Amino acid sequence: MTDTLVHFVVALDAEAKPLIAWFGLKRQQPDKGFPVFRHAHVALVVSGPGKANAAAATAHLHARCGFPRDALWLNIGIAGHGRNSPGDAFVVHGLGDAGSGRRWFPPQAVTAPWPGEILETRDAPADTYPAAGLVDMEAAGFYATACRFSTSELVQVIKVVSDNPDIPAERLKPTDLPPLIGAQLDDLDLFLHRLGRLANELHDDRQHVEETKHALRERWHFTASQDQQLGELLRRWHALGEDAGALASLGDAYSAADVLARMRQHLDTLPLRFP
Amino acid sequence: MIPAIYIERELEDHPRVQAILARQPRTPRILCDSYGEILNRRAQNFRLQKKRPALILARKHAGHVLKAPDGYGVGGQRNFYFSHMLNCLYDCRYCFLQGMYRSAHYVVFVNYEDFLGAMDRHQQPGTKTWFFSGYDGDSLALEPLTGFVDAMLPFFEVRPDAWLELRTKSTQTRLLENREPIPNCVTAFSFTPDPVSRALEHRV
Repeated sequence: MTDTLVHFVVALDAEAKPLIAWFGLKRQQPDKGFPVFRHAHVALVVSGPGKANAAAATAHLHARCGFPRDALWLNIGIAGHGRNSPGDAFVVHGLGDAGSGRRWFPPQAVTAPWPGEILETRDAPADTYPAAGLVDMEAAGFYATACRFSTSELVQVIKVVSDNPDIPAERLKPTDLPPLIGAQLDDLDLFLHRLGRLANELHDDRQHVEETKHALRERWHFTASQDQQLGELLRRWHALGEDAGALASLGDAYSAADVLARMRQHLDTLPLRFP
Repeated sequence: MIPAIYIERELEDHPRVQAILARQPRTPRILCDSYGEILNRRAQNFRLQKKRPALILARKHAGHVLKAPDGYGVGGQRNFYFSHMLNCLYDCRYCFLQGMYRSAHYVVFVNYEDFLGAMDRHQQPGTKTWFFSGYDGDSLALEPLTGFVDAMLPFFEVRPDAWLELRTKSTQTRLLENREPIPNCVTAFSFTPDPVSRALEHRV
C-alpha cells in the first residue's frame, strides 16, 4: 500500500462496504451531506447514484480532507458491459459522458493490474448495453471534478462488471455487490502502491519548491504576481539541480523584485556541471 | 513499453495504422476523435507521462511543411522544416521540447503522403531546397515503428534538388545502411561528450 493520500468516490453503500472493511475506515461525524469514512491517509465518500452526486461528493471529499494537492483519486464501482461477464474488472482508459458528449482519456502512467476498457456514463439506467465497453452512471461526474484537484495521472476509474445483456441489472441484489468489489482488493493495493510512487515523485518536487518559497517569503514581501513568478523560477531552479545553498547569494537583495531579477540572472548564466 | 495507442477514429482502417498496430499486438487501442483531445488536455503532468508515454496516431491537416527561419539552414537557398512526429523518445534536459506540450505522449502523423505532397509543391527542380526533419522529435528513433524515413527516401531519390536532412541522436540506422545511399539525404548526428550525455541526455 501507499502512504499517499487516497480518495475513493463510491456510489453505493454495498460497493463501499468491502473498501471500508479492507482499509479499516471509520465513519466521520458530523455527517455533512455525504457519508465520509476515513482512516490514516485513506478517505472514502459514498456519493449515491448519478454523475451529479458523484461530482458533488468528489468536491465534498476534497474539502473535508483539507484541499490536498495531487492526492490519488479513484472511483470504484460496478458497471454494465455489452459482452463481459460479472466479475471481470477493468481500468478505464477512455471515458465519455453520454449527456454532454464530453470525453476524457485517463493517462495510464503506471501498469494497472486490470485490462483497459472504455466506459460511457449515462444519465439514467438503461436496458440497452453498448456494443463494446462499460456503462455506468457516475464516472464522468467524478472524473471531471477530481481532475480539478489532481493531475490526471493520479485520477483513475476502476469498474467491475455486474451485469450484461444476459444478466441484466434489474436482477442484481445489494448482496451481490460486495463480493464483486472485494475480489479486486489485492490488485487494488498493488495499483495504489504504483500510483503512490508516482505521486511521491510529484510531491518531492513540489515540496522542495514550497519550502524554499516559504523561506524567501519570510524575508521579502512578494506581491501576488511576484509570488507566481517566484514559484516558476523555483521550479526551474529545482529542475536544473540547483540547491537551496545557491540561494544564499540572494541574502543582500533589497526587495522581492531584486530577488527575482537575481534568480533569473543566475539561472540564465548557469554553467554545465557534470557529476 | 508503450502502454496504449490512441487512434483517431477516421484512421482506424488506415493501412499505416494497421501496420503499426500489427507491430504492437498486445498494446491496448483507444479511439479518439482528434489527437488534441489527448495532447492538449489540461490537468496532465509532462514529467510523469514521460516515464511511460503512449502513442497517438493522427492525421496532420495543415502546415505539413513550414518555412525555416533565416539562419536555420545549412547554406541552402530555400529551407523548410516539417514534423511528422510530436514529442521525442529521448529525455534531454536542455531540450525545448521539455514540457512544450501538455502531454509527453508521442504523436505520429500517419498521412505521410500529405507531407510529401507539400514538399513536392515547395521543391523546385534546378534550385536546391532543403527539408529538415527532427524539429519536434528525433528523426530516426521511432523509425522501426513508423517507417517514415522509408516512405520518404523514394521521393527524394527522384528529386535530386530536394534535400532531406535527418537530425538524430539515434542508432536506428539499419534502414539507411541497407540501401544505396543517395546524395541528397543527409543524416546529421548530434554527438556530445560522454559526461554531458550521461548527465543530461537521458534514454539516448
